[in-house]
Amino acid sequence: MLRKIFLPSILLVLAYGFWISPDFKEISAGVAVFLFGMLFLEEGFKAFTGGLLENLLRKTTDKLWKSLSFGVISTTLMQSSSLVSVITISFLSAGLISLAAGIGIVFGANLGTTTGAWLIAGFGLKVKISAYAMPMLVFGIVLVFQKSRHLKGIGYILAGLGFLFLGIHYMKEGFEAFRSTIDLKAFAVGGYPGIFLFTMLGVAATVIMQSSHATLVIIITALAANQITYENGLALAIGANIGTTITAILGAMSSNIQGKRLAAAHLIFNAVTAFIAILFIYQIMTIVDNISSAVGIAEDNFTLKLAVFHTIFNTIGILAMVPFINPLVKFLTRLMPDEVVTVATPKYLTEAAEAIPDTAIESVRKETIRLYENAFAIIAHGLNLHRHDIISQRDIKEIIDDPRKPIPINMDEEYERNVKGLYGDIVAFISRAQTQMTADQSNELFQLRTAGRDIVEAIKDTKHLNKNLSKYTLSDNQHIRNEYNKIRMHLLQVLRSLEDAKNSDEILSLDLLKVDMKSNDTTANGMLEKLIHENKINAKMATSLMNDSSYAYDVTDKLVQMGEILFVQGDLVMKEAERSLALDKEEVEKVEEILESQPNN
Amino acid sequence: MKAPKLLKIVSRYLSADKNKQHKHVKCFKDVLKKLKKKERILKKKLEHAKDQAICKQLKKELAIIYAQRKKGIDAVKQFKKES
Repeated sequence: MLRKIFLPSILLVLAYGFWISPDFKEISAGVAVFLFGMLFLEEGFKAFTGGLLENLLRKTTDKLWKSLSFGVISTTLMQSSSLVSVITISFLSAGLISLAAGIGIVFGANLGTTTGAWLIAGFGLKVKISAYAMPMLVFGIVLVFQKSRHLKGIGYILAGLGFLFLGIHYMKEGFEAFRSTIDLKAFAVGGYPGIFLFTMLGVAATVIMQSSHATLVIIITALAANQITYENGLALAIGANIGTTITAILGAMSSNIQGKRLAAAHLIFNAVTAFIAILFIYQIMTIVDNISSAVGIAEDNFTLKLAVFHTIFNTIGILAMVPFINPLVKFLTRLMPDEVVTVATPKYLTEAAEAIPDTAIESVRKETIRLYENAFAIIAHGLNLHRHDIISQRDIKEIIDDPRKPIPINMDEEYERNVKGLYGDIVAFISRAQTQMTADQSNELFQLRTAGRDIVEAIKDTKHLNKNLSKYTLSDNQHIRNEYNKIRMHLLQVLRSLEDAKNSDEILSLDLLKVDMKSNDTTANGMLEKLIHENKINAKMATSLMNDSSYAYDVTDKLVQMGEILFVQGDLVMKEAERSLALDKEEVEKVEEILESQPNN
Repeated sequence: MKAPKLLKIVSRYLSADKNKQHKHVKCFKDVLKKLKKKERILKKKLEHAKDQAICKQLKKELAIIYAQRKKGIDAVKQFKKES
């Protein structure tokens, strides 16, 4: 209910504000343009999240000082602690970094975001920034229309910065005009009640705009225009620091428990920092005054003083909280325990089915197909592929070339949850059921058990493959990236063919995959040697590629063997007839020889 | 098909009773019929295909089906000979 009336109410209030005050309209438009710039910036950085950012995150967060510095630097560069927090949450959810490292980044981001106050206070209000905004917008938009992903990204970033500066310009103009009509200072409240009130206002403004930078700009421009008192301005900045966690909280809603823990850590850090800042606000103000006079900031230059304050109180927060990172991790893990893993349970393996041999065989087959379907999801995500893409008619190359963020997957957890228990149940059912079976029936069950084992092994091979695949498909070296994408392409084809065989009951078509296996094996087809010889990949890449080609080969081999057993229907004689016509290794080689000897091949 | 593999299929066939033997042959023939039909479709596609990559792919599929059918025909011939 509240949600339904929230948006219309906001729109109505805004419309009323525009009607009664053209200055309010200008300020709001400034905020809107500023936020639009933020969207552009985010879009721009997304273009680089396909490799550069991920690689940096992995390498620069293994120690606390590194993660703190990373948070500071990345937020300084991106000028958005929210964006850094959200990206950190996504990496934490994907299991690429630890919670402690994530917390380090978020703490660092809080310090990094203070550079925004310096930029706006020191640069934004003194220089006619709209003059910088225009060329940035023009260059940015020209680049946005380019085909190259990176150029497009740079374009979005430039245009985003242009819009940010333009937004600041409008807000500044608006506040200057506003000063002549209404004196916000009249609403100023002194002492702690005022500090609490303006802190809450800061929280509300940042929650609504989802940007502490936007709130800071409003505070600084309002301060510069003498619209609010310095003390209340500081309280607003404290509130903005709490409000900025809203983006991380929203981002964590769709993430796993690790992401939620990080968002909670973010909120705790900012709330504790705010509490300290409010408690010692007058002492901090004295420190700000001392520092300001020491570095030559004028007594009445409140905008720069606010930047000093922002930096000091976030530094105090970091100093106060860093020793508690590990206890905080423990506390959050206890407060938000891991989600209880719901293990897949058998659907067809009933006691009734166990008693009748043919029914038992069919039940095992159906259950093993379920096992395969669970494995299919794990393998697909392990290859950074979506299931719906695999079973679609979409062009394989198009799917592989589609730049997407890595699919977060914890393969061990998924295996434990959806495969291991179910496989164990199938094996146990088979040993119980085969006691009263004929040799042929037992043999069929034995084959189905082998198919289950093949599925498990294919997952394990994919797990090994996943490690380098996630790394090298984001690599800056296009040769290694291409090779790993070829592996993905080949395995996508394997999964698609298996899906076709499963639905059409035509297992003999899987022989085509056997013939293609050799030509797709980078080690066997001479591609690896060529790349090494031409110095296109280094020795480490070559070793990885060699191992991973072998894993990909094994995945194909296991899955094809599994498909030949599992996807054939009918009675035992029919199954045997169809399976016995499938080509073995030597026969596949013979076919290859024939194909090689054919003209135009 | 190599002798040991063929022997394995045939020995299983011989160890079955008459009814089952008959079923064995019928199943093999059914699969062969399916393969023949598929082969015909592929040949037709190959006749009309102009793209070289598609032609190559079709030829590959045809070579595989040929090998599979040969294996099946050998087995059926052997069944008939043994019974």
